[in-house]
Amino acid sequence: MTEEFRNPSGGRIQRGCPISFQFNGRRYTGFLGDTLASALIANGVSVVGRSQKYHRPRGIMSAGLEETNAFVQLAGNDDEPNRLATTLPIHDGLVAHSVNATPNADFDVASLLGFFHRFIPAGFYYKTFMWPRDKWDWYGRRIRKIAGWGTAPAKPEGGRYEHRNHHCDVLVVGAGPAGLSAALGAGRSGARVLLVDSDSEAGGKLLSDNLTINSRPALEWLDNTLTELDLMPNVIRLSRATATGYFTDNYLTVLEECPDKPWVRERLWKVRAKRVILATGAIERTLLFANNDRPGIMLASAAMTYCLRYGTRPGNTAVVFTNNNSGYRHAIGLVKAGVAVTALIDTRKDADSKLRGDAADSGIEVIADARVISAKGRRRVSGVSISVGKDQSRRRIRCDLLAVSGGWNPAIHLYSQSGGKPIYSERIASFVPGESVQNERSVGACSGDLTLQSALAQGAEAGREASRLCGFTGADVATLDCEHEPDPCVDPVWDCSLPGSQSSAFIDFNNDVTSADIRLAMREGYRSVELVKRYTTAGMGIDQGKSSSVSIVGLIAEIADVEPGSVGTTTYRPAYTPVSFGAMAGPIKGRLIVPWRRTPMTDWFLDNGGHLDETGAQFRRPLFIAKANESASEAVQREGLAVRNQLGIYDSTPLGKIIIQGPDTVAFLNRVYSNNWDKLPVGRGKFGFMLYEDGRLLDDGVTMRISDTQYLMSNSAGMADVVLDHLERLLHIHWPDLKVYLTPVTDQWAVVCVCGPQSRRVLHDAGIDIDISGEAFKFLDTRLCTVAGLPARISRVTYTGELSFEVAVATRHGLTLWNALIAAGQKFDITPVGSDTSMLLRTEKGFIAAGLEGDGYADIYDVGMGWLVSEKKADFVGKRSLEKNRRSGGKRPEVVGLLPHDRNFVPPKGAPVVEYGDDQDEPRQMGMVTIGFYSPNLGGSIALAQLRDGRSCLGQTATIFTNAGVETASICEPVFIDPDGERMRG
Amino acid sequence: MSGYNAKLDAIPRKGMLDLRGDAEAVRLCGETLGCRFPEEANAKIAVSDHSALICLSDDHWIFETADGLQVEILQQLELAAADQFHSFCDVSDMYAHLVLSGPEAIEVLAQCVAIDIHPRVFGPGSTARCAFADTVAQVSCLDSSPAYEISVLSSYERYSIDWLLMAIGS
Repeated sequence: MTEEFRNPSGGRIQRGCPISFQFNGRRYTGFLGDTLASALIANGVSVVGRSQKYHRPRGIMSAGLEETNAFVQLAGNDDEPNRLATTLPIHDGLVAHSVNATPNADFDVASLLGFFHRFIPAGFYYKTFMWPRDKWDWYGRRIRKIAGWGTAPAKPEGGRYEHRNHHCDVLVVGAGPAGLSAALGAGRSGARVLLVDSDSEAGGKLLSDNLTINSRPALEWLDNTLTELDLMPNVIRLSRATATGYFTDNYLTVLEECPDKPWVRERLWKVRAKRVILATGAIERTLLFANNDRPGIMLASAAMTYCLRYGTRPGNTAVVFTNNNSGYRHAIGLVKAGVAVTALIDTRKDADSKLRGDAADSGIEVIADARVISAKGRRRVSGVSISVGKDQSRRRIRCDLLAVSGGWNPAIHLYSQSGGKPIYSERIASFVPGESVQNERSVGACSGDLTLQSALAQGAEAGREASRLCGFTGADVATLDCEHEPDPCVDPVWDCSLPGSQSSAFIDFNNDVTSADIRLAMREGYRSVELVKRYTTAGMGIDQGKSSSVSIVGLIAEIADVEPGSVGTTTYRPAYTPVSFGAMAGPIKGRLIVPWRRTPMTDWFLDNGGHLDETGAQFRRPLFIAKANESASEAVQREGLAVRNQLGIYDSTPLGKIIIQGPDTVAFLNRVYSNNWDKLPVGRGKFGFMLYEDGRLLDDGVTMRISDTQYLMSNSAGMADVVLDHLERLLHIHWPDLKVYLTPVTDQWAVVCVCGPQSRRVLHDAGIDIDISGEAFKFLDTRLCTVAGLPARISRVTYTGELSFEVAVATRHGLTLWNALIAAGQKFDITPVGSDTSMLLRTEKGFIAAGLEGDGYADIYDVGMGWLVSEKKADFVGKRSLEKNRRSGGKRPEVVGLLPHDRNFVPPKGAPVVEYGDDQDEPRQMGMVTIGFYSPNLGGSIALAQLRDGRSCLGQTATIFTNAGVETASICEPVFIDPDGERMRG
Repeated sequence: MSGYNAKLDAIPRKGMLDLRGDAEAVRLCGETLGCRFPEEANAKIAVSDHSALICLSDDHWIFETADGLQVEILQQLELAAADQFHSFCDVSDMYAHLVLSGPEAIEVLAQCVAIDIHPRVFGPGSTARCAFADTVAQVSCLDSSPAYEISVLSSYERYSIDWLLMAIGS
């Protein structure tokens, strides 16, 4: 297809670099520098998509991020939905197609909905799809199908998404004249400047207008400025980089598309700036009249951009419709670009006489005090009907381009996100930034000052000031002279459509919201702009109301007969432009999503059938170590039998370890544990329970006194960080007078536990240089020694209820120790065991896990560990709450054992346990199962449970509800093996 | 080329001591080591050719030395500060040490840490304990080539290596 709407010369495209691309199945040609939108305009494509609700044909409306119509789906390697054709540079092989059209944008079956638009206004869904109530999901799926916006990629995309942190002195957002001037002012001082711009080319409005600076073409100034900035080592300039969010502490996110590295698809910059200069420009708004969404109707500034920047003609015969002075400039500009402008419709009676004269000199008929009331044509505008003067005489004018200039909305989105409150400016009939809340300043058009002269001056001054505030001496930026630009003098007309018009005047193109919808919402009682927005969805589309939000406010004000300033704005929230999920997620995927901590034995487990899972503090440990063709259950049973009857070996490295030292250590332990620590001798350990302030269980563990001055506290693996935070908080906030230091040393030591009747013998065989007989080395003793030739600390502690020894060596020696013990244990058929097996064994023994039996509510008495509460101590953390719990009486959940009557039934964790009253009808919930296993050592299933007033129910029968049915069990003491502890003390 | 021009190396363990103490303990330790303890967090001073002190907070330091020397130094420090409020621990095995170097090392590191690592701010000799990937590391700038040493808890060593290799793009 030829480029019939491409001018033979002009524009900033590279005509020597033709590019072939596909749109909606057809091949087209454009040039390097074209966006998809400009290339489609050059090729005469007017319908680029269908509207969301009514499936009306839509054309290109703008030339930038504010686009409301031209969303496209990319295919092939670019596979991505909802890309804006107006900001998407074309490249060879680009394949794009319209979204929301079936079968295609030219003929869309769903456009039949448009005939019923009067019956499906705003709120239609809420009122209609309420019956039957359970059918909403069914409706929802179908509505979503009709109103879809493209499809998510089915395959992983090429390239990767990257996150990058960046700090700078001055962040300048926007590389238009104000932003460039600010960057120059800051950059020359030596400050670290980051200049970001969403466009592929810096310059902003300089690229699409015939402006002059110091009587020279503004593009000369642009080239010189960019050259100077690019030579500054302290300035980083990013193109196609959109500041999408402005958060607290001057933290902003910038989404960079197509970064400097070809393998990076998108890069999300996380910028922390000392000062921020917002130079985000202003967005032209449209005007409301019937059928104002027809293809061929676009913003006047966009029409200029397509002419001057891309060398295209958005139409051959144009009408310009305006309510402000900038419409004149654009009309004259279009004529210079080769577009025949037959008429300029101005809503004002008394526009600037010079402007009118200039327009007339360009052959443009200026029709003042007139309004476009409707557009003609369907797939492309073919003309307009206008109403002129007080008598509202009608006239029709033919055209294939209607350029609309309804005034300018400063892009205050980032300012608003920074916490600032916009204020209404009658001068431009829009909202402008109020006071700065963070270290930020808005300059240029986004501050409401729309002239080039102001943009350059404000930018330079802001750049200098920002760098000065960062400690740099600002260099002078020469004052620049620009041609006079008249004040916009906006006539705030918000709706030009005739009352009772059968055709729609769209206020939010993105969500197909019409002025009639806003009026309906107001009639139905929605007065607040926030409620009108939510009821009608105006401003809630992908474009987030960039071009419509102020018009919505204006129309509400007009209907309510109040000032727009009193209506206020809706809240601008991040992201300013759509951000892909890939960019949000960044490069982290697969095994990097969650940090994986390893012990020296992790690889051994991976090589020997270990089934690893996270078991706390980001450590992944084997749940069990399966042999070939062995199920998980079989492996756990085998390992459990081995520990009770022979020898098991377990990796205890993840258990938390904290060195506690200082003259007040004993006082500290007495305060954090419920039991008494006054008389712990060196070389001995003690079991303790730690409570929260409200008496709930925090953690349990053994603390050893390893020297006169040092104690070694061990914590559950999953609670190690929590306990350390808890203890540090107590020391720093509550007890700063205590002289105690805490040093976490978990990673310093690899810990191997040998457990079972043969554990003493395996240590002898591996080689140990101290006497570990039952008499010389008692339960809870600890000693320094040498094991297998390695310097070690050995401790007699157990989590299984078996004779156990924990051997700790420096991490570098961990695997050596493990292998030595495995080798020495071969004659005892040593069995590596995992944490699931450990759970089985502790359940058999009735050992409490604070994280399971302590379900977040239980206190130390509830889990049967009240014997660990010292009555002598004046205080400890949680004491007051414990006493309150006891005083308040009532029946509390208590830990008991369950022996299912069906010995093969394993009560599942969390299963409710109930009892029946005398009437046998209504079950009363007693509590729940906290853990259950089939015990190979007992030849039947066992469980622990938390039951209300459980201790008083010993010997009774409980009923356990499961998904599979109902089972019964006897309530018993929660210790199933070795109740006297002979094995572990042996 | 599908990655940044940077490389990652693991370096051997160091002798490392975690030192906490009151002012007098610190003064006595300084006399023993022949230096004045730095007082500002993230300040690092060389104590000798093969040892350095890093200040983590106003009463917390890390002493680095060649692996093997830490045991004797720990004994000397314990002796010096025996009567003072202190806590000294050998933490040599707690940390693994990686070196990220190459012309684009800063681009790689900027993906992993949120601190300001611009050469103006974080030049050779600078160090900081900071969030790294989804864990914590002591990050030090070794030279202006640039090269950075990243010390992570030894249990996170493999994860950190995988993370950095991903960030490099190799």
